[in-house]
Amino acid sequence: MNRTIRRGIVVFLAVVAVCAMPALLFAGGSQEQKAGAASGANGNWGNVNWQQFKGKTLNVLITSMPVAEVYKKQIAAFEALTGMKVNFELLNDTDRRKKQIVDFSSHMGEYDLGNIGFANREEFAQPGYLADLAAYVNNPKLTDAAWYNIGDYPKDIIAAGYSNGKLVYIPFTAEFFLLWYRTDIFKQLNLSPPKTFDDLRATAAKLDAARKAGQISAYAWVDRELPGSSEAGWNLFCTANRMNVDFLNYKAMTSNVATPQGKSVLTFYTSMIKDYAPPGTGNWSWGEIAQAFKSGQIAMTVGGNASYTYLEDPAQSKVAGKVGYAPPPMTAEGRDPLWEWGWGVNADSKNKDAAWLFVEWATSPTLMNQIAPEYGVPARKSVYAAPGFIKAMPGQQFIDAELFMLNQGVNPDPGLINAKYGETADIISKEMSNIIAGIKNVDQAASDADAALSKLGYTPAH
Amino acid sequence: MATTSAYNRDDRTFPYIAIMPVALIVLLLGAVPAGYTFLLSLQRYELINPPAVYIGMKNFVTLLTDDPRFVHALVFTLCFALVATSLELVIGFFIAHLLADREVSHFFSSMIRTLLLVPFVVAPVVASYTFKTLIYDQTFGYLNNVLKLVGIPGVDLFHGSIAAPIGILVMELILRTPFIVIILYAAISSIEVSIFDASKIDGVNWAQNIGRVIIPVIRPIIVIGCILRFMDALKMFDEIYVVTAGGPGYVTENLSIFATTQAFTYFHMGYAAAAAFLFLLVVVFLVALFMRRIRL
Repeated sequence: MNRTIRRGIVVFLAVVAVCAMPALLFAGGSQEQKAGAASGANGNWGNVNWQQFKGKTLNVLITSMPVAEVYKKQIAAFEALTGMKVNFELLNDTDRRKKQIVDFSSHMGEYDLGNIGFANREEFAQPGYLADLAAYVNNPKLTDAAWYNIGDYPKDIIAAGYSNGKLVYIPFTAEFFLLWYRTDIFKQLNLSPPKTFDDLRATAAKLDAARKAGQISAYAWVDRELPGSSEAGWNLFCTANRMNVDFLNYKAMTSNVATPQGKSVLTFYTSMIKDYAPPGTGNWSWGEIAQAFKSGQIAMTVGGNASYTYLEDPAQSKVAGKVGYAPPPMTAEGRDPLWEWGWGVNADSKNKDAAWLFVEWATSPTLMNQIAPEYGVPARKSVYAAPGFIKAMPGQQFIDAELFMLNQGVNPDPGLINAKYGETADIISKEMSNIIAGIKNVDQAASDADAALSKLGYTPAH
Repeated sequence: MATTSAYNRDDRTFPYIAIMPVALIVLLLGAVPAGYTFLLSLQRYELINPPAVYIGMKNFVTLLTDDPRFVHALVFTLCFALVATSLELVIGFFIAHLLADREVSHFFSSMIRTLLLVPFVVAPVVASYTFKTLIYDQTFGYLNNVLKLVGIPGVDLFHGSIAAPIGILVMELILRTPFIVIILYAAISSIEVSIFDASKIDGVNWAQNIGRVIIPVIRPIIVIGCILRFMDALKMFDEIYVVTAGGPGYVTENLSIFATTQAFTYFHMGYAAAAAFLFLLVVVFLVALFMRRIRL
């Protein structure tokens, strides 16, 4: 075969491959769309004309997290149901938040909607970047109110979506801290899950004594320590709220950090770590804590309820089936600040009505019932009684702990929900880090935090 | 009177045309953002509380006179970059000198040089997570497990205010010294063998060989390596962000971390821009200083 013929064959094959590729891709896409269409047609979707914005494109930005992956699998179903196209972009949370705020503040309207975290709600709501969704909920052309049943949301859960009387997002998760503890170790040492902070310290002391005596190998306790507002700052502020202490009063612009109450929180948080955590955990974030717990090195901690999926997966967790879940220790008046993710619509979106249809679909009882068994922390109350959901959860104790928190354990309006949370929590968490590292004592750290906060206009309360 | 030149008009304009695309890219990616940063720095621009308000030089005055955190970040950045660059140069030079030694087998030298390239193909953030979790961590890390085996207490990065900067420095040395090694190896290898032979005949010892023969010959390369590494060390971000997040407290907070926190955690865009612009001025000043040294 001469060179010209060989070259001709290669060119022919290349042309065939190039021509065939789109056809193959298209065929795959069609199949996926058919599957989506079938899925979208399943269930009761209420009396809404889902096709009224057919042909439009929605740009959605969401934090890359397990529930986002669950939603991603359903996007084809939404596209089949509505005839709209959805660009569903996942980004890590830090970059999602930056990109979102830059887009929203520039009023470009690049993203029609996205997930909003409860703690960062005011960063978006206060400047008016989010549309008021109440108008869409009450619009019969867009929402079948009886089917959508917004009353299905526990009052504290939906209340967190309001900012200054405006409904700025509709929640799709309801998250909070739960006490995780090793049932096998607790049984071996005849311990019960602590309910108060005194109990917590006493239980940690017993676990620590058992470790030092060689009865167990796990360390008694650990909590987040890497400084930063969305790292240890969040855990520290939540611990304070469970003790019924607010480090800052953002309305009165006063700081309670150096008050006896503020110092007692700092003392408790840092001394529990110094006394009972594994050595060298000063830069531990959530990832390291989860890994240590999964590998059986921690006997007790507080962690998000959504994390049960990692803990109970035998493929990645040595403690699967050995984890107990209970409400975290709280004082009589203390509550855990709720954490939830909600869908919010960009006030500058050119497709706000169409974006609402996405929010309505994503937070509808129909879809949430379908997908909740995959992520375990739905925002709607009715889902917790659904047989499919109950079957998928680690046990009734987990569901009971979740229902307790949903109904009476969370504060939907904690003082820390403020646009200035990020800056102030960062400052206080850095001083907390100084205490753990032994660079400062509690008095010095609290005083230095107050000095930094006073430059921002906060007056020390003591 | 007509001017005469060895080049005609087209020959003389061609170089300008040839560098035009690069000049435009530098302008668009360097000068325009720098100009915009300066404009931002003159405003009180809160991302969560628009609109921006012109406040003149107030951000600069606050940074320099009333923000000990900025001053600490500036001092830490400069000290860290100076120490890291100096150590990398010294260590890198001796490794390069060893590898270029004609008595070292070519196979061995080439194998080491290949291994030294590994840090270049690993993303800094991946390398940082590796150091944070698999090397330094007392629960998961290899280093501490090995130390424990030989009876040495583990390394706790977050104990006191010295361990964290040293931990970051060691990591930086391991990851970045290979760059110096590679370029200095190339420079030393390119020295004519006759120069070494002549110096041997003149009876120079090992130290004189380095100080009076090698270093003077490869000095321009050393300065270039020094400038590149110094600039890199000044703007280091990933390693600190991942391993310590600037902690404990503010101990390892450098200017990159400071400016990023001001911009994207506190949303003080104007203030962050002022910090970034001051940082730019410091870098330009120091690099200009080094560039002058090249000419000496």
